[in-house]
Amino acid sequence: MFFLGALLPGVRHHATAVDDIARFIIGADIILFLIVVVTMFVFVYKYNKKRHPHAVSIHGNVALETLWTAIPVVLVLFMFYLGWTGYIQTRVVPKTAMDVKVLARQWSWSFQYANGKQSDTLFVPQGRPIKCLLSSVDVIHGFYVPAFREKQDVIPGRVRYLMLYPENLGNYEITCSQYCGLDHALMMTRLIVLPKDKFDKWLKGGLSKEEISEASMGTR
Amino acid sequence: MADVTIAAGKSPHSHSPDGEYHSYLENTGKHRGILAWILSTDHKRIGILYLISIFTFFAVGVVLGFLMRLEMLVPGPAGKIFNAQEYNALFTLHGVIMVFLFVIPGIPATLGNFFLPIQIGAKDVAFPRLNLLSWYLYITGAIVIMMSMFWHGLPDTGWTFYVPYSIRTGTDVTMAVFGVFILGFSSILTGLNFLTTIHRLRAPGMSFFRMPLFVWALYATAWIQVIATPVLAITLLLIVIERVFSVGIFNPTLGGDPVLYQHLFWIYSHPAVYIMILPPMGVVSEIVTTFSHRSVFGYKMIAMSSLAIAFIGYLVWGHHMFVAGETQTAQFVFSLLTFLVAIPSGIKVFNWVATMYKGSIDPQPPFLFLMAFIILFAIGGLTGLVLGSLATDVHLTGTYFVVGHFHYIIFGGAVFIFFGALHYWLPKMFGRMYGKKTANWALGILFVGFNMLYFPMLLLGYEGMPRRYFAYLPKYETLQHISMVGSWVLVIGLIIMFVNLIHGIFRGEKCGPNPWGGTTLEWTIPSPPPLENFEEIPIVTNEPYYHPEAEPIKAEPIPVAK
Repeated sequence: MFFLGALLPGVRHHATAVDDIARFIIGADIILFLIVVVTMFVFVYKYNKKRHPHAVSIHGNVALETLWTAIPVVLVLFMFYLGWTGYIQTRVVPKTAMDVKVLARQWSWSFQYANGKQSDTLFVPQGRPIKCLLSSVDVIHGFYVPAFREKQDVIPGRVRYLMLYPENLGNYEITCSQYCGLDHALMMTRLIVLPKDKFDKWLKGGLSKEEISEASMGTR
Repeated sequence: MADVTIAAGKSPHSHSPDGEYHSYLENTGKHRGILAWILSTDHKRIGILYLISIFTFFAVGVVLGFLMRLEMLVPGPAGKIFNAQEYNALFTLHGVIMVFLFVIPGIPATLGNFFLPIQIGAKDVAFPRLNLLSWYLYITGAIVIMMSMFWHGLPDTGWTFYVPYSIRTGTDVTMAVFGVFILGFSSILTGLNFLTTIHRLRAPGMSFFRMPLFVWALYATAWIQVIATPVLAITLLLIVIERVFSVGIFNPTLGGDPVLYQHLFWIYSHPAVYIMILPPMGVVSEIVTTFSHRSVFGYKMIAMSSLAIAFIGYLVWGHHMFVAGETQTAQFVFSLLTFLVAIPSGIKVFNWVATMYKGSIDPQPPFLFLMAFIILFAIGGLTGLVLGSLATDVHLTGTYFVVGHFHYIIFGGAVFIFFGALHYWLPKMFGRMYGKKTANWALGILFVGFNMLYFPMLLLGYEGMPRRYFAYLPKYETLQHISMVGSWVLVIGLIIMFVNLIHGIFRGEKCGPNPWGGTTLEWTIPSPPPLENFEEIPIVTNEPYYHPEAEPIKAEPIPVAK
């Protein structure tokens, strides 16, 4: 089945998991939509007053109404279960995770690493879980990495976290998803996943600009 | 069930020859001109006052929305029609006007005021003067909001006024919330008035389960208005305490919690979504049964699902804040309840479609609006399931997907059926019919424009386009352009529809008291209704949607009076 991958334990590529859950819900949505709308059009055609001049009143049908209550209940509970399990696995912090402090301000992002290195682009090593520690110096922002299907509001006076699992090399956009004023739309930066050795070199300040741009051209 | 006439004995106006009664549109009181309207306590005139004021704000909101779409002509940030500050003002004003001044008062204040008393066989609401006060409060609240918006230059907080941004920016959030609070009072008083009217003024024989489903929907809505709206007062009080005494409540620089503000805001504003959608659901039940010429399928189920939605609807506000840092327990509960609130809405849709089964369907304009409603509301509701699920919500919240979903529910659902309700009831209110063919064309254009405008938003959202962006990445250009052109088509449809309706009100062909073959009480009185609705209070002996000719023949034949 096309959606069951979402339920397998140990799914790391969260984006795929989210897409599978979305595909399942939207698939069920389309089936429900077609049932309702096609039935409606069939009735409107078949029971048009020209073809069906004498209406028949039917006041209800307990069995039918129970059925169309019970089936959706089961269906939405399953959707809930998918969404919940898909979500909580992103809240688990593995011991191997690397901390990166993410600081939001009107209207830019900055990232701070354990060795004190600061950057306005988020560089991460491939294959290592990243725990982003989010804080804001002014208003509420939203740390959003669309390619990773991940988002967390950044609340001033609080520290929230968000887990990233960078599996593939590449260069992804980071945007602000919580309205924060004038240049909200321009509060963007990049997430660049480097091979581990390149990342270590970058962290020590030894990676040239050419190497960075070359490394960030990796597969998406 | 033995006697099939709705009112026992003669119908209320049977002894007055046509045209000799005094309609509510004639001035019979001591005032003339505009005073005869703004000092009138007649529920029908107040309904029309609301109708005029609400649609005036709707027109403003449409223009603002149209300009927002026009802004998407080029990705930017260079070469934009409006700069960032102006765009931020556009979406703030669009949201505030549409939500607080148009959709929330919406159907209850206009058509509810007009038809609730008539549908239960009363001469007016329980407190006519309180009813007029509600309208004055609405106008006062609207003025206060507008003043707060322009006091310190153009507002730019978004309609949600989230702190601490709304504290740091120049906009006067205290005054804006005060304005919403006054509107809230208007809403509470209307709710109280309706509850009292429904409990105390039903005609003899009109038991609760003989009430039309529109009345049931207004009843459920009134409870939400009365119970949820006071939360606004609490919020306002806390904002004032923080501002005046510098007690840290919401502002993090004083040690407050900005997320607390979001909770309070949504504890009111989420039930407000059900204030917006329940009355339209009531209208749908009316229209579907009238034009199918048969009884409604599952009357009690529809009535009870309104109450269920009203009740569960209180308890789901937290789904607006899944990424604001709620505990996992809160996320679990709110996500679960959000899925459960979908069930009664789904049941209603099934019941409406089942009501068409074996009917004798007359697809007049109001019925076609209803079909459009079912399609758009289904898309809105089903996309809601994608947002109710935590894993997908984390990706989609704060994006165009939410904007698309919300507009499918509120515009495609509530407002389309508001239009349908106007097409259904204006002939009753003014005694004249609009051009039916033009109405159908207008609906067709609206439907195409609507989907062009909002369906791309669902796709844009899934592709990661955040909302409230004046500029966007070039990869989104095609979808943004389709959406923009959709807004043009939609506006053309709106203009045709309103011109047709207004022309119908003043110049349309006269129509009789019951042009659609409706069975509820408003169709038993002349069009336009007499000043006091009923010369004689009717005695109700039947369920509301009793079509004697459609009743199946039972073992014991029922005597049918013609």
